[in-house]
Amino acid sequence: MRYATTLGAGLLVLVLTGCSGVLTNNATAGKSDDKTVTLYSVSGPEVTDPILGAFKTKHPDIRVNKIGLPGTGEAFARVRAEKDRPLGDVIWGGSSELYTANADLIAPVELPNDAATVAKDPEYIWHATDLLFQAIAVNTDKFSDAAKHPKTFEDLAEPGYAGGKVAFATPKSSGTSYSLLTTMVTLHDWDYVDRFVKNARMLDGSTAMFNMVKDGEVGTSFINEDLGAKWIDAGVKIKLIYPEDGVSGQIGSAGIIKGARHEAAAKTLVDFLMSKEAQQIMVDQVQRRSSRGDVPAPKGLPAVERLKRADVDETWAAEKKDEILAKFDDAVKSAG
Amino acid sequence: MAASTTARGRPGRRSRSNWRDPWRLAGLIALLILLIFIVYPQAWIVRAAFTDDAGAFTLARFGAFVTDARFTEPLLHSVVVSLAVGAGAALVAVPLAFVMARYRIPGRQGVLTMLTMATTSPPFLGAYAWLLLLGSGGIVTRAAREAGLPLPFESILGVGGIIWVGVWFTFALIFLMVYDAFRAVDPALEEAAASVGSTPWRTHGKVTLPLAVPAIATGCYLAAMRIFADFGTPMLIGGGYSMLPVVVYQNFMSEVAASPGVAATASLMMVLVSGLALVAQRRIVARRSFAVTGGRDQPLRELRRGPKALVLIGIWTALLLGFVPHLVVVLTSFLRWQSGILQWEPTLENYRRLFEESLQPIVLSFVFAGIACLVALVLGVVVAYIVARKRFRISGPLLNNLVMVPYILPGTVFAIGFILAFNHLPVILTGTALIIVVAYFIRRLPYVMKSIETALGQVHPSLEEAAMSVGAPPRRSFRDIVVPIIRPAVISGGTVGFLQMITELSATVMLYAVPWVTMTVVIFTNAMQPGSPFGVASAMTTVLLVSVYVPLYLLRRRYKTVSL
Repeated sequence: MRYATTLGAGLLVLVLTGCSGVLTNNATAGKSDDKTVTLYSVSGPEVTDPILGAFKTKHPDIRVNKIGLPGTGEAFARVRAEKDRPLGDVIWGGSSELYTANADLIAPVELPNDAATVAKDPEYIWHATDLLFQAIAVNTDKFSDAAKHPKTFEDLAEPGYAGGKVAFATPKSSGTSYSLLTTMVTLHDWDYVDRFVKNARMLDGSTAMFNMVKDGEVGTSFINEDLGAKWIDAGVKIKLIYPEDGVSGQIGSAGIIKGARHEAAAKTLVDFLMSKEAQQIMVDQVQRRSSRGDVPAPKGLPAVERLKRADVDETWAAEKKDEILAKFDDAVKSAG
Repeated sequence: MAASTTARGRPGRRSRSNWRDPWRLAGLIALLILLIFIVYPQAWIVRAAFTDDAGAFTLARFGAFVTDARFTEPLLHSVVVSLAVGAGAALVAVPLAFVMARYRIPGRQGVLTMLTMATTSPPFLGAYAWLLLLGSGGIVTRAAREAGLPLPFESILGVGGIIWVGVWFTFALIFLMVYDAFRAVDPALEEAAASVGSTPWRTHGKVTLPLAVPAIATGCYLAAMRIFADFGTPMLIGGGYSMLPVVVYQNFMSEVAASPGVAATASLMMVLVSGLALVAQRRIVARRSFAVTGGRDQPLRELRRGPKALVLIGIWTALLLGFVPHLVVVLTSFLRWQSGILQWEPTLENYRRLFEESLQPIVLSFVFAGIACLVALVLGVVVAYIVARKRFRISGPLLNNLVMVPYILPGTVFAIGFILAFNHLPVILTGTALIIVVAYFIRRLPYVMKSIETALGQVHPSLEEAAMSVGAPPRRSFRDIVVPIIRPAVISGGTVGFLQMITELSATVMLYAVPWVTMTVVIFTNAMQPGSPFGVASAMTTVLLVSVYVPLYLLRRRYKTVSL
């Protein structure tokens, strides 16, 4: 028992010293105001590293502390929990409507490069860093009859669709799926959704939806075009089909967290993300579409002009979200 | 002076009303720690579950868990899968543990070491490895298809896959507990049974097995709860099979429409179910009589050649299956990955990229988990002793139940509670390294505490009472009687706890701040998106496994005599 007490007391002292050391460390890091910026990143290093590397070359005096978070939901959950004492400065990744939905956590700031992007937020909550479209992905091993491959959203809802089940992430948890759903409703109607869910295999998240078609668990799915193109490069047997009746898309975004401790550095970083230099890297190395009009599409992806974009009313999609999700739930229930 | 005379005179009346019992104070301190680090941070969950969207008190959210199929189905699924995993893992582990505990098996030290190692699965990539092998486009599946071999399934995806992965993910945990129990059974009891004419099988059925029941129950409980709370496995290989942790996670973290109220209610349902499981486990552990009064070692018997071969095949098959994730990860760390797709080209590129960055995460992981583990051991012994021995009417059950709460909460949810509680005065922990240490310690305390509790269940209190009746103060009887007997459990509980801490991912990811980057964070950030450089993640996982297993191996060699 005495040993335990001594050990316990020793540990306590150790922990307390460690604690105070760590706390001071943290405080000094906070003082050097514009020399560091804490970035909450929702993308993997394959996206962030090339661009942040260029940022380091251009702004050697600013250190970026990157914190990778599993998804936009998690990132905003963390920012929300830290609201009273923000620890992050910039959040980067995920589509614009998620930023709008969490506008109370973001500082509206107009940045010089905002003007050069093709899509811009009149409120300056989000800043466009890339454009992203979804294609229908067909696994050519699992579903080999090219003549029967779908060309449109409409084809996917055919009774007895030749490709078997279509993987679809639940739109309640996946922003990509929600965007696909609002596109379906805009292009067709709720009756279409009723028919589509009969062919769908519902999944928990968009990652599962992408992986299912890659692994040949299903013949058909939706996929983010940049990932699809990279996977085809890497030898995955899939084919990308842009629906002829309309393509869903999002604006990849970044935002400055309200109350950020390193606001000036945060502005520099976000503005750099939209610069021509960073956007050229986005296209050449990351293989994503640029948010700027003056940077052409990456190789392997068709030019924007060749896609028929669905004209989804974003205000409707944002404001009627609960209703849209509830209707989708009903459709799933009635499909059994 | 007077007090000690009374204690000497009436050893039976120790704990109930004696406020000078040092365990009373220790219990109160432990309770205080748990209140600060479990109840206070997670109280928001309770609040969220009982308020509606407008902020008024409601019970309607719980109603949905009885009536709405969106919630009843995952609840039922989770319970069924957890029971199946617990039972399946016990079916594998208990016979194995019995044979290993009683018979001379070639390479037993090696097997025991490997079983301890198998309690750690490579974080994050474990279920992925099975998918790589047995998925629809998996290596084994495709090979079998090409060879024309019929497989009983088309893909591991689905409920069967969850149970399969769960069994191989947890059986080692049950094994370690049950093995200790079988070793600790006093041979005199079995000899007594034999001397009155009982056959060996009857003795094992009527004497040995019942004595191991507390350990089996605790092991099954831990295994079932591990899968009950696991969100990664169903997410990766559930193929849409709905389970409660996924519901919780999605409702908390959804980027589209998060509903914390629903998620909080689902979390409370999980705590409730686990509470029921805990009651069942406690009943089983408490009802059984104690096994050890002596402390004589079980002799190891010889096996005949035929059974020995069978046993060896069984052991190594189980080990192989338990190590599938580890093997796959290590193998793929030496292969090239492109945009998250495995290419069959050998390379050292993954390691080169890994070592280009600093090696600080390796050191930090060890420091964090090391400190957290020591603290957890101290508190674990206190709580376990009080739960197993003292009949404190309020603090006993309270401690027992509170300790288990973090075991059930998904790491991410647990972390949100921590941020909400410790991002403002009086205690600011966010952004520091300490928050990770505290999170490790609190989250993995159940492992440490439960294994010590099980070991204590096998020490008859009469041993301590005997010591006290001849005048030993409680402190001394604890040191001389209890400590030596629970030491193996402290070491093995501490080891498992440490392994669980160093591989902790889900809470770490929500809590870490630069520069406090651990190995699991490096693994995670390199595998977080479908196109991420998985090779680097595999390489880091391999480094993690090696850096954990080497000290583990040395520790086992050092304590060869104890059943670590």
